[in-house]
Amino acid sequence: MRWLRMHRAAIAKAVSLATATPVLSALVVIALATALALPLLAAAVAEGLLAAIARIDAKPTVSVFLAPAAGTREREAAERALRGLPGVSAVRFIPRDAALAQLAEVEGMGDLVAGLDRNPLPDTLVATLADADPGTASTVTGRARSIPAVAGVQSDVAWVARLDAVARAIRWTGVLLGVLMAAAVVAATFAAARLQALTHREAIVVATLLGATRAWVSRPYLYHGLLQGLAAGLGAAAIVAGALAGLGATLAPAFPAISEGAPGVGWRWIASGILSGGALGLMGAWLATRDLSSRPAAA
Amino acid sequence: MAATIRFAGVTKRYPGGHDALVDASFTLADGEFAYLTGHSGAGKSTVLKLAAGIERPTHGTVLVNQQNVGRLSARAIPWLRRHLGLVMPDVKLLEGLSVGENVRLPLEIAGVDRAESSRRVRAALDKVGLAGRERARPAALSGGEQQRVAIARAIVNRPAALLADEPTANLDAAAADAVLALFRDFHAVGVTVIIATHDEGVIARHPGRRVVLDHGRVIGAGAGEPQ
Repeated sequence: MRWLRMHRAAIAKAVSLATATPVLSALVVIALATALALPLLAAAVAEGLLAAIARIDAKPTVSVFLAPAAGTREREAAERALRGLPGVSAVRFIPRDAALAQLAEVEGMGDLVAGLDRNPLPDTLVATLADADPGTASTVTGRARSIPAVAGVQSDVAWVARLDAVARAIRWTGVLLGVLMAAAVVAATFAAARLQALTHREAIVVATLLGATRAWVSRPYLYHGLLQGLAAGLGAAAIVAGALAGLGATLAPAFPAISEGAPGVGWRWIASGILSGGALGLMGAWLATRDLSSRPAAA
Repeated sequence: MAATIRFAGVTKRYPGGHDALVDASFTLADGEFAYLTGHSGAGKSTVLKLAAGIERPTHGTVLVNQQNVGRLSARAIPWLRRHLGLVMPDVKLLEGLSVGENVRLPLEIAGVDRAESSRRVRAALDKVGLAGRERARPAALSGGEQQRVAIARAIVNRPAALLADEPTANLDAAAADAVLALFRDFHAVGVTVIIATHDEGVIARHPGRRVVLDHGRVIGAGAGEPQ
């Protein structure tokens, strides 16, 4: 009971520390929330992008364009050669007329196709790969180029790989930002707690002389740092939610495949923001108060 | 409960080489009423600070109730201080707190519950003649009243010993007598009282044992006047 009473008193003092200077407290929380939001936002975007990539139903394929002069015999030979390559699970032939017809069905392309004097598209063999390993795609692409009657080869998994790389880069940027911003949050709460302690130096000295332990003296500042961090974490979660909603609304029309089902801010993100904010706030306050009244001769 | 305070060959040298106390030895028994006297800079305040663990001796032993204060860990010092009532210039009244909140502070530190601490604060203020002044700010009180608030705060946690450093400084004779009468009352119920003062008038009107200091040396630690 005594333990609980002392912690309850410390929390009450921490709240009074925050409410004594409401504008300063609010500004500190806003600054901390912004610092926390940046890495959280980067992590949320990267995770959303990686999840969206995983959802894309893109069987890895390699398109092999045949030379215009290639006849049926050359096409069949190329198809056989392609089927024989390791890593190729299926080969489908798309005649140039069918390809043009497909192109004409794409919104806005009908008039363009109708205006063409001749069909510029080549006959195409589409090789479906057994796996999405970039190494397999690279091998098949390279060996398909050496097949007679082949005019060009295009890997259709390259853009997915690029998107994946971008998402990973964003994630690493998030990690880096996370480390830097965590240090910034700790430094800011350290400075705020130190300033508070200096402001109340006389009260700390008197309390120490009256028998206050180091824990008793530092406890309100620790709770203050914790509360400040928790509030900042909540603010960061709100910022991330708003930013993701805005990003989703902007990207959805242009990239439906990516935007569809992209993550909003779930409990996981809110909890991450609040807990990391609280932990960092507590750490900053602990660093600021760990030498308070540690010497008996505090006066 | 009272406290025995024993100094054995205590020297206190401050940074810079100044010896505030030199080979000081004396014993104050349980429930004793004693003055530390001597000129300004004689070492009176240093004795009190050493007893309260605010300073540590350079040489020698300071024992408070058999505890070697010089060897107590930083963690143990607060527990020693909770058994002492300090009335010292360093232990100021906090201007941001009311009189009641100032007196309540040692109880908050000790984790005494609200109802019990309110009862004790009222009793302490009543004892020093300041009943009903709980909500006043220290700045609104006279010097003598402020000193009585400091005494109320010192006794509210039922200390074993009261250590007072020049408690009558800046007070007129009547106010000084009122303060000394309070110390006498606490002494009467068994509390060890040590008062550092150079006010010979106060000592004459309220006799007690004298430990006389001169340039850091104890030159007299007699039994003093009958108590």
